[in-house]
Amino acid sequence: MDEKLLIHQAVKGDTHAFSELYGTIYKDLYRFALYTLKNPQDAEDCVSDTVMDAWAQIRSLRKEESFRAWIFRILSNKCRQRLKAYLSKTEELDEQLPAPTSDQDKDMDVRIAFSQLEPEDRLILSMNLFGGYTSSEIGKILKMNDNTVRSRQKRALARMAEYLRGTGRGR
Amino acid sequence: MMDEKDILKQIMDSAEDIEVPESLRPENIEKRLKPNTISFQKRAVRYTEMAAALLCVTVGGYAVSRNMKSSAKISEQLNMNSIETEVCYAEEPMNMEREDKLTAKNAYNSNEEYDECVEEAMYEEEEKEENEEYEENMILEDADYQYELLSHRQVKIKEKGEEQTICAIIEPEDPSLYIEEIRVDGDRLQMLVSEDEKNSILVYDISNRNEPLYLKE
Repeated sequence: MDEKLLIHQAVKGDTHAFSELYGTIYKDLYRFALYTLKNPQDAEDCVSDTVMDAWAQIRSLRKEESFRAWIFRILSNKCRQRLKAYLSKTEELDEQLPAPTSDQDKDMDVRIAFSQLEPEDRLILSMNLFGGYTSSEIGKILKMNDNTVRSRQKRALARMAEYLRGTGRGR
Repeated sequence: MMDEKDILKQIMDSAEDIEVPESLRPENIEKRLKPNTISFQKRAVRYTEMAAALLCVTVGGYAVSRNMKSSAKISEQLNMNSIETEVCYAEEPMNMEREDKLTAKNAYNSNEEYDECVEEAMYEEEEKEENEEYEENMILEDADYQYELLSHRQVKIKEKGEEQTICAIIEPEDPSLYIEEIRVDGDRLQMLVSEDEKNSILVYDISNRNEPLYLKE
């Protein structure tokens, strides 16, 4: 069904229309939260809160804005708040992204490399990868210069490449 | 050498087999959203029930307080009839007047029941205070004299009649004693006194009202 029609129905209170919209992006929402926060429970909580907030505020969704961009913006704000909370505790969660269920060493190395990045770098990369935001959009949301976003992203990817080279996966 | 696109692709690939928790699946989210509508209806019903219960309690409380009041009145009347010694209260007329006002208030329509309840509670509080005053001003009488308990510390004996000459003021030797009650039995005046939750009775010979004589405890 057309997204605009689904949004229209969701605004009227149709929970099924809302869940259809959510169904197209929920995996990316969870991945985004998990890769940013590194903690499965926090990621689940953040996505859950985001969905409830989105449902409560669906009327505030502007016509020209896509549902995906809108709900990702809510989620990225929640993840940022959670990251700030981690920092205020002066210690970050000493966790690594969960290992894959199957024996996929390569994926595991990539996740480990990703989890070793700075919190804000993880957020920037997640927004780009799972949220589909451009550097310019990320800059607006995080109140950063576009160039800063791009350079941070580049530096983060370089670090990951270095780690993966060390594991023999980057050749 | 890996380029950025490769790493970005690898990150995306690594996330492919991430399992999303059951609670976040669309069907479960939809279930969580739906009950909100039902709970809103339930809430509305609950509020109505609560309002009805509150109304019942208010009306019930009002009815009970009225019943208590009327039964208290009846028992008071019965007591008054059975008492042989004449006991009167200094501010009884004012009390009667308030009772009248209250009776008039009770005749108001049912929309003002709540206000009446509040006012009645206030009157009851005032009555309590007044009762305390009655005790302070408790007066016993016999054929020729009045015995007035003053502030639970002294007993004033005065002649009845127009002049009301004061004969004597009796005060226990121990000023810390609190006089709960007084009784007059012929030429004997008894004081029920208390101190530190201990009660005792002081007896005075009042055959000569001008010179009461402490007899015993």
